[in-house]
Amino acid sequence: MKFDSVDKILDFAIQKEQDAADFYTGLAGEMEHEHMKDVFLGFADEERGHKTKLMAIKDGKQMVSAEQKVQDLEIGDHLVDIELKTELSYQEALILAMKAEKAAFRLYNDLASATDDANLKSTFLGLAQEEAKHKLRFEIEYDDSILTEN
Amino acid sequence: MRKFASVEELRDFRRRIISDGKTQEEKPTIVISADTGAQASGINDIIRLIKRYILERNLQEKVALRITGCHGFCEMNPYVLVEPGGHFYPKLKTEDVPRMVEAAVGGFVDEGLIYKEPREQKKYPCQDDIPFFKKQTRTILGENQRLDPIRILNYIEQGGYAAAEKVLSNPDPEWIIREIQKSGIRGRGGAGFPTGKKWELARASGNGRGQKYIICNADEGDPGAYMDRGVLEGNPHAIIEGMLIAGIAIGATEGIVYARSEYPLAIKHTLIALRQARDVGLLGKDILGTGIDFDIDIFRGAGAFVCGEETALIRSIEGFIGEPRQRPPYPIEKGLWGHPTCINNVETLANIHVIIDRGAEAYAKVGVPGNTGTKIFSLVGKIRNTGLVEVPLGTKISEVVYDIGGGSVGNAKIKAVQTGGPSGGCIPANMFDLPIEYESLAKVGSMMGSGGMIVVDENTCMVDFAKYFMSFLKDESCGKCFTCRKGTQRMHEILDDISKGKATLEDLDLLEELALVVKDTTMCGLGQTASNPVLSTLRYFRNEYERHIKDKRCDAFVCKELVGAPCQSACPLGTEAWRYVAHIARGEYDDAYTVIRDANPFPSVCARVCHHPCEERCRAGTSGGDPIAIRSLKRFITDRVDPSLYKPQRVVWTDGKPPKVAVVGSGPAGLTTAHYLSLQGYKVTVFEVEPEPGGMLYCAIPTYRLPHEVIRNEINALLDDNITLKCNIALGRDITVDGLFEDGYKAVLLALGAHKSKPLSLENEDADGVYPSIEFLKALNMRGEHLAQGRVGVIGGGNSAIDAARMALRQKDVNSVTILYRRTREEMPAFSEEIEAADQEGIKIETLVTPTKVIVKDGHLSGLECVRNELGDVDSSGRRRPVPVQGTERIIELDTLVVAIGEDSGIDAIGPARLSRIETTRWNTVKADRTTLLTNRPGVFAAGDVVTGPNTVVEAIAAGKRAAVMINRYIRNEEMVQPAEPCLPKVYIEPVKMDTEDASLAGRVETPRAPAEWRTRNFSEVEVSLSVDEATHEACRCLRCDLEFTKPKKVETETEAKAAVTGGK
Amino acid sequence: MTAEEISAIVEKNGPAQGGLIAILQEIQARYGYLPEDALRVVAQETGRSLVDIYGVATFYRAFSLEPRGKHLISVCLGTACHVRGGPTIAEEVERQLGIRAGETTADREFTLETVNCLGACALGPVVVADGHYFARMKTSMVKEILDKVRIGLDRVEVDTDQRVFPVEVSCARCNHSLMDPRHVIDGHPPIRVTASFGNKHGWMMLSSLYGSYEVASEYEIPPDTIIHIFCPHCHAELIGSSKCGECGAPMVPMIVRGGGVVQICSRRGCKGHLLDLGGAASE
Repeated sequence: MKFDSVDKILDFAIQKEQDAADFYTGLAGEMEHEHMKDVFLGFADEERGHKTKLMAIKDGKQMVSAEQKVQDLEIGDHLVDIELKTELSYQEALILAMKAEKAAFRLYNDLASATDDANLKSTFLGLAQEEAKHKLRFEIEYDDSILTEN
Repeated sequence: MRKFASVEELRDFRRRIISDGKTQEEKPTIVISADTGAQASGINDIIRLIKRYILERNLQEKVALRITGCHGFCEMNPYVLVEPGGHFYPKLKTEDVPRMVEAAVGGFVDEGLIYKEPREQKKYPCQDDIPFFKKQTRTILGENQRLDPIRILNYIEQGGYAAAEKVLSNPDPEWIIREIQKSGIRGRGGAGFPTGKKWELARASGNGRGQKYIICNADEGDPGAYMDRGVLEGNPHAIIEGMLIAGIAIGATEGIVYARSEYPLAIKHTLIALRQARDVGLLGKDILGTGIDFDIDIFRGAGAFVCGEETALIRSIEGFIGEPRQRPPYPIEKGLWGHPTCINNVETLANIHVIIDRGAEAYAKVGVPGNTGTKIFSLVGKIRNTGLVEVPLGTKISEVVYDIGGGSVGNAKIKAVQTGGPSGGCIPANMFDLPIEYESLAKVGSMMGSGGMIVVDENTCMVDFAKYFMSFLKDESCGKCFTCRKGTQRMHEILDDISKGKATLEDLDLLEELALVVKDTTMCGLGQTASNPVLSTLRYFRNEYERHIKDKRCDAFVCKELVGAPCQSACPLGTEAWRYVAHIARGEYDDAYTVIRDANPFPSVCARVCHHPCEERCRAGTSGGDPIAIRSLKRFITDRVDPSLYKPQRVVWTDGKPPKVAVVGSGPAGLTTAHYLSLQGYKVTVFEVEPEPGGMLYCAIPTYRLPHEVIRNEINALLDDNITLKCNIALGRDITVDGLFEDGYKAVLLALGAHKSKPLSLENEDADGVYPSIEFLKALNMRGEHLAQGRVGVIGGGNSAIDAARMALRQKDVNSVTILYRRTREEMPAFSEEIEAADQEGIKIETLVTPTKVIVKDGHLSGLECVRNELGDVDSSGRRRPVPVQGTERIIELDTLVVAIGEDSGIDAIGPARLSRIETTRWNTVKADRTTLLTNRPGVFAAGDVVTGPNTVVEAIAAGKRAAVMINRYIRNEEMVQPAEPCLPKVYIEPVKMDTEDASLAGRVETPRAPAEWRTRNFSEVEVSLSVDEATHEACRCLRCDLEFTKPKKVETETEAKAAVTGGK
Repeated sequence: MTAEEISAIVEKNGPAQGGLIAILQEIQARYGYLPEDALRVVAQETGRSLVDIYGVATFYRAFSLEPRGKHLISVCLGTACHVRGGPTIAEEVERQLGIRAGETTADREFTLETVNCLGACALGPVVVADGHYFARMKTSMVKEILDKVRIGLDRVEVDTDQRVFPVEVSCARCNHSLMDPRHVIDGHPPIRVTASFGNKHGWMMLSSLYGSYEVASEYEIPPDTIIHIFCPHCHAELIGSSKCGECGAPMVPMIVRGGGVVQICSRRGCKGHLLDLGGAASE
């Protein structure tokens, strides 16, 4: 895919969110535990929420802004990759999600540095910040409910 | 100083003193804040001693002094600032004076006295870098710091009266009003009416001629707000200048400062400033030869909140009762003595000379469109850095509360801020991203108000808070409007009922309805906003109201009639701690034991490992001293009294064959249920997966805290003919829930605990030498295996991390033990006494480190790669989370690593539950109803850690007790409710007569512990029992909160009789 | 209290309508409460009905119709003090004094009141006793403070208090030392000047201890008299342009040895003073 306009980039990003939502929905269907099904369906909802936001951006109803630097707790960065299986724990699910968001963040950053067009660059950077925000949400959840230190 | 005859003379004078000041050699200056707050903190003594030191050492030529008003950082009172260099010395003591003066004279920083950030222990040699100051824009407060309020010369030197000079050199009222309008400034008194617009109206009023008044409203009545005091005390000339300019703009020749009588220093400084301004010709007839007349009088209020309301304020000046009247006509048309009157707030007027001097455009650049300029807030309440804070409008609440305010004091979480005084409302912590603007605050049900920002935390009860405001408002309502007079009174009554546990949910609806009626049917601002404290707390904290009404609990421990004796209501078991403490003071040890045992089947265990919430809430501690050592007193009793003395009441099952109940898990929850069901006549079988009963008590709590013998004795005392204990039986493997029902059990309790450590999820975690903490502790506790050797690392900051570390240290092949924790020491969830003990034993605690990689050599652990963290920005939960610092990776060489980042019930417990069609959660817990403890399956109950996640022993026992009640009701087919009742002291125990002075002065007894060197060599118990003397002494320190509820009435009347004369109204 | 005194107060604050609150404030300040007889005089002098005046007197919190105790204890119950435990402090004071807020002890020693906000919110809970502020109150501090109030919070032990120290001064005009080595006040040579009031003209000696208000003079000086002070050496009047911050009377400047100026209020009985060191400007 060649990114020669902001709209194309946004189309790509919207598709990516939809893919992620589909992925989590699929995973939910394979879970043995009812409560883990709920977890992944929740993740899928989040991704659809991101998609809606991107669509609003595309329609010009909302702006992407790369100005605000999103905090990176780097919680998922060093953790092992999660093998997909039917019995995942909540901890594993969160690791999975953190890693996926981080990958998306990296992708947009890479795309940003690959283009010279200032408009496209700022769109990519804005999307990267969006992904960073999504990741932070999962990191905070991991911090609060997994690293409980009790 | 002589009188200036012309504008030029004033201008020349300023030029001269400024150049004189410059030519004078730069002498270090000690700037001393001496406002009312500083004086309350003893600044006058400090000033005396500084002067004495300077005189005695002849330092007059080497150092200068400047006595100023408030700089804002009031929490640090008494403080001084040394210029140049900006060295800020907080909380000075008289004995610090010589050191501080020497540092000032010598031009160096005294490292011991200089400001440090409490959490990071970081020193800040320069005031500007201190987080409290750094994020502020101190346009107004900055002036306070630069000048001595009682010296007009100082004000002129700092550019004061330059704006007046500008205006007087070519008096053009239209221009002034245009500038003020362009600046966008809005009234700082609360409502935010554009000041320029007000002046325009005032100018036009009365056909632009005739007598007019300008009034400075300094009747700062909002409790919790003191910005105006800060400005009037610290910079009265700025107000005079602002009023002079306002007077010229609107055509008034008379001004009045209406000041609260509660602010004597502000009145004094204003009087001095007025006198000086008159002396130099800036007030009075023919000001600076321009032909303009303007003078200001001061009027002292006599204490009535409603006089902050402009029409009431005017009535008060006129010598009447301060009742507001209907508007229109507005005071702008018909005010004081019937003449047009313009009323501006202190802070508004303090901004006028800034706008005129620097230009409206420069002013409007600060803040956001529609909300320009800075606003001063009095940031007070449950916050670390209290004080006056000046920020551009549009700043987020979170920046003020966390970045400037430094977040909460201690460990209690911040719950909300209250803005706008009694007319305002609460904004909950999850909305702190809100920008501070007139409209945004109104939208969420609060208001800007004059600038009070009261931070409240978990220890503030929102019902009590609303009741406080309502009590204030019912007293301050002038009584003119019936709905306000009666409505505030009635709302207060309802709130009072709620706080006493006497209200119903219907009352809550009535309260809400009443609030809306009062809002709609009153005349002045007081009445129209009087409902806000109720409406906003109902909006955001309805659950607290309901908790008071339904559960009869005040979780903040504020509402007395619900709290009773805090030690008792803090205990999950409702143990009457005050009662057994009272018995100990009287030497009645057997009675003390009975009190303890009545509430708790595990007294000896809890005497050792309970996290004693009773002590956290003990009023001897919360009122400023040390809490009573309740747990040590319990230990004293359980060590002394023979448990067989206690004979619990038993019920014999008469209705045929007693029913069978199965309890899975023999921890404190399971055994408690078994015990109480047995007393009711049930036949209980307890299944335990391990070879010995006790659950976590036995598996994971180190023997140096809780010797196995204590557990065994306690459990043996509970086991009886009704209870069958079956060990080595696992749910899912040997038994199933279905099977138990088939075997005739009428109910099943799942009390499996939380025995699974969560993994780090780092690579190589399965290497030799890496152990999950529970496994590590079990190996030692149950099999005597010493898994640790050489250099031991423990990851985590909770109790199981400390347990693992201290257990490792006692093992024979161990050289060193280091705890690695991601956050700061203050945030460690472990009990502080355990952390202290680890310290004493020589365990190293490294904080702000995150492990990133397990290093392995030949299949065995060889080290751990870690990265250093720093604290990131505050997030919406008010927490500053650790963020790794790039490039700080390093390898810690280790031979053993214990992972203690958290536990849950794990798949071993959750798997069988699921197989039995019992609902579980993502946190690996079993879902059970909060009140009935029933799971989704009829007859299956769950209690303890398997429901809550890892929790304390006493919580598990409490859950076990509740489970017994509920199972009993279930089997007997009774309603599954336990009616809520306030947990109040009921028995009167006569206090021991003693010299009260002795008791209040002596501090808390220290719990005796074995010496640290001895401890590390064995696994024996560390804590030792108190002696009789120690215990008696400690018990006598108790404040006896119970007496308020139990004392016979005749004692009460005696003290009543002492009050013979009543005063006031 | 005499009718003349009250009339004088009414006169001073302007008998016109607007002065009423100021009049009542001054009566309250002088007598500690508003005696009924005084209110009758006020009614007569201002031409307002007694019921009107009674209404005002009972509407505002600052006024009391009952005599108050010798010492006034105010416990702040402003919002900030409330959330920081102000009510427990109030209860402790009530317990210690055996009275409730708004009451006066039987021996007329103490009056206890609660106030809505004293504006020292950052340092709550706050208590004010006889004009002295106490910040960050704990219940354990209450008894000690009440004991101190009984003795008098203004009382200073000049011999032992480290806040009290000697200051040597000289005449601003001739620079001659004003210290008198032949006499002793408070254990130190006093400052000797010439004092003039009415048609009296004689010596006056002031304690040189900063923080002591001991004075001896040739003629007895009635309270509230404004005196003129002269250098006994060059006979110039010691006078500057500044006024007393407490009462507005002219201040009397003297040069401090080693640098600086000390100023004292020229009104007998007023404790207004200023000590400027290290070249701080004096107007």
